[in-house]
Amino acid sequence: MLVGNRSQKRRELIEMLALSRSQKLPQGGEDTQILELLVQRDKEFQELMRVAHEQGKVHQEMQVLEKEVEKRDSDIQQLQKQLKEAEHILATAVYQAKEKLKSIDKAKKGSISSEEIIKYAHRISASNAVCAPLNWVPGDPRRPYPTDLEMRSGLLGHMSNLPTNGVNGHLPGDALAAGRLPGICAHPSVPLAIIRCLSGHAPSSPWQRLWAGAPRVCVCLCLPICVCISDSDLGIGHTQYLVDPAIHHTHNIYDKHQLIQV
Amino acid sequence: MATNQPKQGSENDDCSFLPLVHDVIKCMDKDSQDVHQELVKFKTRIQEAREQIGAMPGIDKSLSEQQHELETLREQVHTKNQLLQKYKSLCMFEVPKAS
Repeated sequence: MLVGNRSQKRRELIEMLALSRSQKLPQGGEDTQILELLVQRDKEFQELMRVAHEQGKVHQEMQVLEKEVEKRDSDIQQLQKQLKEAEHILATAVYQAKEKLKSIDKAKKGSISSEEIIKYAHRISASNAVCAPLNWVPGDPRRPYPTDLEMRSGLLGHMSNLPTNGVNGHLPGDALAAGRLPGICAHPSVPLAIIRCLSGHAPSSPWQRLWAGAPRVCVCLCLPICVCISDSDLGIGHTQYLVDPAIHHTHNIYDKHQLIQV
Repeated sequence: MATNQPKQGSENDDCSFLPLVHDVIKCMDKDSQDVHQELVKFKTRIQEAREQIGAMPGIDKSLSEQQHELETLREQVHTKNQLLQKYKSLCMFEVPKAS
């Protein structure tokens, strides 16, 4: 605006000078006044330019300070992230330590003597269920579970009066079912009772009922039709039957008249 | 500061239009043909001054406002420096070495 005023004043001065030159007329003190005004305006303009230069320098300094402020802000944010991470790690560690202390208190309350634990460990491992015997080799009949032979050698086995000779500690019926004994072809779908019937060991009529006191032997084959039901109406308690696969597809599998005593 | 004053003086001389006005009046007194040329120079100088002023940074605010903002920024930098110094010099945990 100041530049515009100044340019207007100069135009007036130049026009006046040109007019005075052409007209050769005295103008009095008017051109002196305009010249004085011009000088004054020039001084003001110079002062304003000086202030503008100073403001420019201040502005540069402000930009430098703004950059510093941004850098400090990013440093503070970085520090904040690290503190947050440290707080999370410490919180996790404190929580785990508290849980461990709770477990220690709980263990102290239910403490057991070490002798008792060692005794129990001996009992568990005495039957070689945890680890094979040191002298065990492939072919050894011993197993970590009671074998069929061992089961039938017990009280129940003696009560059933079944033969004890077999292969690798297993009965010939099981060996038949597994297909390991020659002579009789055992199909996996044929239940053991039928095999026994064929080999002369099982009752011939499949619908023969149990009598009270009859021996009960659990023979669970690999067949999926082994059913364990409560025969309470017969008054003989809980026993296990095998379903004849030849008929169970057409009749109700749970019909006890179709079950074969084993 | 001594070096700044001559520079400031030269800047003032650059800003002043009086020499150009004087040249125009002299040409008009002499009735020479260079009056038009001098007028063109004068006009160009005014245009350059306008462009120079338009490109100057920081003149959209008054000097007092600028000073106020400058002080605010300086305080901010000082405060943030103090905060950072305080957080970095917090007590560190001494992790015992596993023996």
